[in-house]
Amino acid sequence: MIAARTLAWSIWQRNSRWLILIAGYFVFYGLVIVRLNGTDNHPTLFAVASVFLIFCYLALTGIFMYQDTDVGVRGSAYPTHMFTLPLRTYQLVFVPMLTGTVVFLSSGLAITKLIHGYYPDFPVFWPVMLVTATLAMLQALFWYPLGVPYSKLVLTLIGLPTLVYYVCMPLADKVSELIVCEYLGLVILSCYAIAYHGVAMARQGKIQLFSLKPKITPARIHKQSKWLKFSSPAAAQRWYEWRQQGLILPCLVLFCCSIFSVEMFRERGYVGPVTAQGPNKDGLYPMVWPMISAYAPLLVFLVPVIALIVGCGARRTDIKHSDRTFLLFFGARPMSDGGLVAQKLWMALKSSLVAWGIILVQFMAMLPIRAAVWDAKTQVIVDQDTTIFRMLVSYLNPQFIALTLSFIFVVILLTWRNFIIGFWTELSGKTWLRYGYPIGSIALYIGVDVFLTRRSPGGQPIGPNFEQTVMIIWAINVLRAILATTLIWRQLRSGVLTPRTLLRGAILGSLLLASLMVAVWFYTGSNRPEIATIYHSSPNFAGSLVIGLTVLWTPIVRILMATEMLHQNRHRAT
Amino acid sequence: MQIRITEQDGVPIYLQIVNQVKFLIASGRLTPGEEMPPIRTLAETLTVNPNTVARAYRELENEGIVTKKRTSGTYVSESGPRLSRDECLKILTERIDALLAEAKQMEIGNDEILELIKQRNHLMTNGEPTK
Amino acid sequence: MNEPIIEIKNLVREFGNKRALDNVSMTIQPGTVMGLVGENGAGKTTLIKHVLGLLKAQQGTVKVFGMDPVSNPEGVLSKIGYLSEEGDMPTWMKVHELMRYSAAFYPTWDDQYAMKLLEEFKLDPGAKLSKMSKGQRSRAGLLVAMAYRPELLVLDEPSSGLDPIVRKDILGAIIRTIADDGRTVLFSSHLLSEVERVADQISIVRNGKILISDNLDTVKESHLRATLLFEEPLSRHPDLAGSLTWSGSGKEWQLTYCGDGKSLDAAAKLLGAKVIERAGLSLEEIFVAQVGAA
Repeated sequence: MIAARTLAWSIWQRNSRWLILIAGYFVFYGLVIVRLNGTDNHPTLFAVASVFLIFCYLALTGIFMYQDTDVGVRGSAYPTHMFTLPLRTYQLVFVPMLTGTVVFLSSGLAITKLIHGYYPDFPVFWPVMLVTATLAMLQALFWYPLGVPYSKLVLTLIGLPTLVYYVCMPLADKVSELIVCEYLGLVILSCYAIAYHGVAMARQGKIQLFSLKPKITPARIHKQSKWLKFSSPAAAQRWYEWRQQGLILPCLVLFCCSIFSVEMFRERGYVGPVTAQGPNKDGLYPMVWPMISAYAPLLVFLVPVIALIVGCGARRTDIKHSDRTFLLFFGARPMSDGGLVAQKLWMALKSSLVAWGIILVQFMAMLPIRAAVWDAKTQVIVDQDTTIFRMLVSYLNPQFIALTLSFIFVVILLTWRNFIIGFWTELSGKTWLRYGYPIGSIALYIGVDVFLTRRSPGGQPIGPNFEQTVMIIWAINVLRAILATTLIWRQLRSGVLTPRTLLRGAILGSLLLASLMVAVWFYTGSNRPEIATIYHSSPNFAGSLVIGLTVLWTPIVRILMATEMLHQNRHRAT
Repeated sequence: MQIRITEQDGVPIYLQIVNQVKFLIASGRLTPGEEMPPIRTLAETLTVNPNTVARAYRELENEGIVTKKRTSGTYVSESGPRLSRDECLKILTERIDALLAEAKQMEIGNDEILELIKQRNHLMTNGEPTK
Repeated sequence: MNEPIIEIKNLVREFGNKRALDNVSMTIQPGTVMGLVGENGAGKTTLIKHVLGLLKAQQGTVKVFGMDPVSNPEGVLSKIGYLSEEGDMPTWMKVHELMRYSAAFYPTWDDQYAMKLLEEFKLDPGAKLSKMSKGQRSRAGLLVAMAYRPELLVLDEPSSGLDPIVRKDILGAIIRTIADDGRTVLFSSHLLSEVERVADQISIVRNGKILISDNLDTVKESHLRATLLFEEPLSRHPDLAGSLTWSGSGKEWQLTYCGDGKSLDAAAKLLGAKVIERAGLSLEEIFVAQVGAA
């Protein structure tokens, strides 16, 4: 019992700040639910608050897993220093596991019960059991000394979707919640057993070894280095950035794709008509499997969102935790400040492109899937045996291709923009900025959303109208322009920015702006009368300029800020 | 060439090298005409600054103990003065001082030490154990 | 005279209201080994960070190879080989990746020399830095700091917390670097015996000030320990210009002294004492005496 208390106490000691924060958030979330009072009034607020709730559980999982090693570790991720404690192995294993289970169950049940009170359709038990089982599974997986590097990551990527799948499937087939919970309980118990076995092995220094890697010998490097040599310092630094920060976005996207794939490719009849394009040239509408119509747009939407989360700091950093200066290794690169930032931007671009490449592959995999064609006039399914590919072909015309390409261009640009958004806060080395910036931005967005969607007691919208909104956006753009000019002026004087770089940036920026405007023109063009009316005429030059500039100013100012912050932090004056 | 450097006492390292080379020559472990190790090699084996070794070699050269040949390297002088008698006595005096100090500590008289020296000498020259 | 490799003039650095460097000036000529000596927190690392341009001078100037390391980091850093105390390397890299990555930055990178060092240090090229011992990690850092034969090698506490064998490798590296002529080394250490072996010049830093900066030989020759015999017993040690520390009682007093022997003789005579014994000091003793007296 004393052992249990000591261990629980040590968890509390090490993470008290986070635990208090999370507990505080639970209370806040509860207040949001109470405030919404069973209505649908603020869907954004509810969604954002729920996303943060998920983050809270992720953080809690990290705490109860004692996860401080990297995911590629071959041995057990259980902290070895704890093996020297005068405790039995079962105490080492079961105390954190049980504490975790209790915390997850109690907090989860409190929340679901509360939501259930306002929204009677909301399930109470199985979501709680699912997150608890997830925790137990991750604990078992990470504490087990599997000898294969990255096996923990791979097994997590396979195991989690499988777990979710085997909960959702029975529920969809009207299996009772009680049975699902019993099944999850069984999973939890077996995870306890596996974790115990794993930690017991690790405590004796055992490891399940499978050596797969070929040995790298000096002779091999010598041979390799001939053709693996980097062509320039910039190329080397790009590689560094890619390995340091670039992989996370593609990995997360791949993870989402793999989760969605479990459900996406299951045939459950057809839904439709699905199209943003109206009927094809034969006057027919396409129909697809329901999960494809649900998940495909979600995937497209997810990439920029993940990029935003990664961009706000969910990645490896070059900043030392102790004194917030750069790792000397990074700071002492023989490369200019601008060069270092440029390589980061390249990495972000490559990362965005690779992420979209993964999405593209996922979409390619959908092409041969069967689809149906629906006739609007007769209201019947004409053909059940066509494929998505054949359906797409029936839409092919220059305008459709141009529209698709401009869409791809815009989403990639958006992903890149979201990725680079947090560079300046990270490079500044200021903790409050790094964490305050994303939190502040989200708070601001929620605030703006609440402000714009205000309703009078009678239910009339009383926010600013469209023209006023455009004016506000213009005002913000002017402010950004002033900030950008100031920064350019400063950096030209201090030599951080050379006129040549400025010129190149200006050309690139103009090109981007032009292509953006073309893209916007396509959307507000003749085939989009409903949007075109917003701009009073169609196609509208000024309208596309507003959107183009609004989208572009953010990254421009962020890049300039990033260079400035890097310069300040790399050559500290105070 | 066996040289040992210590940072414990206050003698500058170059002087330690000079003294030890002198001692090696005096005791016959370095013979005239023998080549001295190159500065770089000696610096690396002793892990001392090459400039220090160079300085030691310069001192030795100035005293005529070693000769530098333009093409090859540094050699122990053939003709040059072996250690002067004074120099030899100086080295011995230091050692005798240490011996006497230790003897005093152990309360062993001078006569006994002299007797011991004779004994050891006898042993060294005749190779017979004397009990 | 050649242009100095490092020229620091009247450098002042404050962190908050703590003065980390107080009017520091230092010149390092090509081909010298400068040993920076001082207690922890004396300002050695701060000084080195200024040389690397990682800190901007608040007052005074720092010139490395005649350039300002803050405004021209590329020009300066590409000629410097640097190894920090903590290693501070991206531990996700493997040794051969670290080599490949570093090679790209330095035009003078010598592949053969790198391979030779790899074998000499017994490094496994496929090993990840995070999985290696501290000593091996330092060796890897040293390898990439040396393989391009930098004109200036900067080592910040390279051997603290390492076993004697790694320390010997590091010292060997310094020696080899200067043996390739014209190369310069700046290294900080609190292991004075190491400094004494390899440095030409030393600077003793204390509380952000440079107490002594001179040739190591000059420093050693100008410090000595002497025993004075007074005619009358003294209750406390007398005042003597140049004396650093005193110990003893009665008629016999021992002191550490900064200055040459003759002036000590003269000063002792004035006090009515006789110098009965004198000996040189090791660098460690000089450091303790200087820092103790300051």
